[in-house]
Amino acid sequence: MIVLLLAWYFLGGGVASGMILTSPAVDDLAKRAAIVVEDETRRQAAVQALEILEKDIKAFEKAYAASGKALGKLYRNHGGGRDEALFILNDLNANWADGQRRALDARFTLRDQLTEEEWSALFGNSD
Amino acid sequence: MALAGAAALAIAACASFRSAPDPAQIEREIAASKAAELELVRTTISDPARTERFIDLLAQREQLLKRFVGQIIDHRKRMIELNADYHAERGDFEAQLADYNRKRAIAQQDLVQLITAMKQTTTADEWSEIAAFQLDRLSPRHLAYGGLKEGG
Repeated sequence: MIVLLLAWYFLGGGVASGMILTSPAVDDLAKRAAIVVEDETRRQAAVQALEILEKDIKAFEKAYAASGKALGKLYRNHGGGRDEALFILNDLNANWADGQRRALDARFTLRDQLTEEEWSALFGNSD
Repeated sequence: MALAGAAALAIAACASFRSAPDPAQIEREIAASKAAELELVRTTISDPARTERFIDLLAQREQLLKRFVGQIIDHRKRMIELNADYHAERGDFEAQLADYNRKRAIAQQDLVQLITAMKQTTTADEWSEIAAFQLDRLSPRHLAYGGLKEGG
């Protein structure tokens, strides 16, 4: 039972202002970072951090989709499913928390490569 | 009400991908689905007392989702604020995420209890009809997070 309440993103609001942190959103963010950061070394480091994040997100998206299918089957099961659903949710929540930690790593790696002005250009006043 | 929140999240979700949908249209679609769900419940569950009990559970689901959608919106606003702050500390993010994760887990558990109660209020045949409709048109995942049904 349960088609649960699970999100989509790791950071809940997205690294990008106003966006949900999906792999396409991070791909878009990497493209914009490549434009905003003028220094070649820092630009490469920033894009690399986002590429790693995008891989993490894609892995989570697969786990999220798989959990949805499993929970859908349990939802239809009139005779039970409660304990199994809670197990799936707990597992997914743990996966989610790991993803949040990795997303924070990426956020601060990216921040360290950008000046405050570049950061503002990437994230400020766009929501 | 929860409709507006669900619509807002659906728009936010879709905005990450392609063009943003019309919020009024989303609200109309959700309202129509809920009306159809209510009618399905009334025509599917044979016993009036169980019908009323089930309708009460639907109202509780509405309240749960309304509360949780509000929490998602507040969380996203806070995360956007934090992220925009170049000097924000990691601990600030971690505290916000821990608070949100706790609220999400509570919402999940409450929802599991509600769905269990819905099953206990129906026969297997009745639940088969209602569950199929809910999964297709009104899944909590869809209502809470918008129109994206599958990961990525």
